[in-house]
Amino acid sequence: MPTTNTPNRETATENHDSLECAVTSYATTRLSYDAVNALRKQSDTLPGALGNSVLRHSDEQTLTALVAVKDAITQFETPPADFQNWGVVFSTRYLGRTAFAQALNKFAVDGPWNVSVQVVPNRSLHSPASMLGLALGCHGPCVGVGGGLDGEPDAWLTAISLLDQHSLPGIWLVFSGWEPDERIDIEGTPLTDTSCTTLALALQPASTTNPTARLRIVYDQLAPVALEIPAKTTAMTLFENFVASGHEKPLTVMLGGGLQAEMKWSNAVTSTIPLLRPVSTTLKKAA
Amino acid sequence: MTKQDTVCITGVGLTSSIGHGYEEFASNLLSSMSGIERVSAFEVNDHPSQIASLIGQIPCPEGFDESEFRSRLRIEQCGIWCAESALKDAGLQKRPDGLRIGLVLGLGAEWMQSWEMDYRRGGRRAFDPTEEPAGLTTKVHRLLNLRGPQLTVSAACASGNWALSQGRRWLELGWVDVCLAGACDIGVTPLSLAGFGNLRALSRKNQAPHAALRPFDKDRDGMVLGEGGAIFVLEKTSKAIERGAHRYADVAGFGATSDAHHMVIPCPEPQQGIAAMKQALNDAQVAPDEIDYINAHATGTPVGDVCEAKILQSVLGASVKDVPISSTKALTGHLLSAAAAIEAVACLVALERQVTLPTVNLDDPDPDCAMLNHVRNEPQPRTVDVTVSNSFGFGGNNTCLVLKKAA
Repeated sequence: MPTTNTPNRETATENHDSLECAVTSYATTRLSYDAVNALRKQSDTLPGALGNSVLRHSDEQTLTALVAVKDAITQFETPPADFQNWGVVFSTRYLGRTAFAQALNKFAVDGPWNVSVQVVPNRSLHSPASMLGLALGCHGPCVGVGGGLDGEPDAWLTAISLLDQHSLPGIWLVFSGWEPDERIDIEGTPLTDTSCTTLALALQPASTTNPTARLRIVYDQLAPVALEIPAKTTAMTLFENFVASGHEKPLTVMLGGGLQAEMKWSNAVTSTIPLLRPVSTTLKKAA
Repeated sequence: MTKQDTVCITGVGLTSSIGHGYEEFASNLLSSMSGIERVSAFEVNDHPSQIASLIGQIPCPEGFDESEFRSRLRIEQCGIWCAESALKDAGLQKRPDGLRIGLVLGLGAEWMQSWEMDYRRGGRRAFDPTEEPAGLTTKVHRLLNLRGPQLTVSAACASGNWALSQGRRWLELGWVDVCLAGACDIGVTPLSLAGFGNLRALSRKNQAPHAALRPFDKDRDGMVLGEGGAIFVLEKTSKAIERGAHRYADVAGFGATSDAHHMVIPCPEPQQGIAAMKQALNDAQVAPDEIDYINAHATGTPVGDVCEAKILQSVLGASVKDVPISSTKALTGHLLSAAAAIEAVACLVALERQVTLPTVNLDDPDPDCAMLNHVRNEPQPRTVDVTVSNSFGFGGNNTCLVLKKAA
């Protein structure tokens, strides 16, 4: 039923809302291929003690995130009693590629009956968010976002708008990926040196007292509509630079469509939370 | 928000086994045409389940180069067709340069599907990520020259409801003037048919494809995979009225929770499913006895259908005997990430045609689901002002969407 008229954009461009929330804890993790796979036998050391049989099927990006979130939980200024009503927004890059490469190869050799039943439940875009929610007992929304080298802006947009909309006490905003994104062989093994990385941020409503930092999304007509792909810098690197800046420079992330995220250290409290697995001596000093 | 500032649907683009556009889909849905058949796109003799709901050739949108369109992976064709035909349906094919149109797509296994499709064509994308940095949402966004923000979101089979909810939110925040929101899934591939089949999630009634998917029926033995997608044009009602757009319905309410129980199995104690439905009804300011039709998630699995029946009984209370309920998956198959989106289209059909839609193949209702007011086998004329659509997914994702007749 096509119509010929078009909408008038005047009010929308002049009447946009900004959203704000508090960052109350964070941690970063960077693990080698061997180190992250060793976690499959260390369930007792990770949140939720899900069992090694569960972690056996989890993606490396999920496992790294469990370590980061465990570290972040120890860093709250005012620790939440639990995470029961929290949500999870989890950005991944090329999730499941290592397992899927194996599955493609196995299917070609053995046919359908040997295809693992674990690939879809554990390597789909929603899976890391669900697994983290399972580990922490989160009954709030748990969603996966992004997926490629173009997907990290999706996480900022989603996490902050959910926190604002759903009256949640908190959201875990998590970014995971391989750095560099690895080339793999037909068994799913990386052909080059690479690390699996996670940045985990605990976001709470803007009214939260003593936040580490404040994060907001604003509309700016000068901000770009389209983004460069792949992004030059990951969220993890941006955040590490933010910490390394000595709390002086804000973190700014372009989100596309004229939106941008800005993070500033709180005026009330200067964070003393260290980066738990800093990548350089510079960052160690800054933290 | 004022009544005028509600968010409404002004365009629909879709592809499914029972139609590549709204009118065709509605007509076939109302005549209970099944899209389920034996898979012929690849060899299935060794698969435990050999049937699916397939879309065949996806139409090339008007104005697009046919050979360039056909060279794309089918998941891309699906997204491009649904988005472009939704804009056309809304009268927005030609639009002012400055119009900020956002794009929210529910995509659950986009990359795995792309890698598998590419691998079958001799490609290496699964092994070298640098070959393909941009996902489907970015590709559609760029191809259609959209100027708003974009988002890929996944809550497994509940992804479509999430997309509609986020699109509505962006409009409320003034981040966009118009938002395309929906979901696509081309999940009927050799690997996924094998994976779901080995999980024993799929019906093995291979000799009777049309009768295989039996939601709420005593004889059900699993779901049937489907493929396709649906994308909606969302606008503020005041703007839609101003430009004289056709309004299908208002996006009135949404609720979402997580079980935190298991990566596959729904929680036997369905408090979180109940909570998601209550959130959505509260958001829409609708009481249980005001619901005119519920499109259930009901995939035809033994565990899931009973679990949902418990949720519905709890939420509806005394109204459980009165509120008509059905699952249209028996005709369309289970579109996985796109299930909620195609079922939102079914709700639009109920609102526009003033009927409740049936569950086909419901010959002998499971006693554990018998408390529901099933619409069986034929559409029933009825005043329909409020519809509810449940969508649940792997990982314990629970969502509920309320659509109302356009105010």
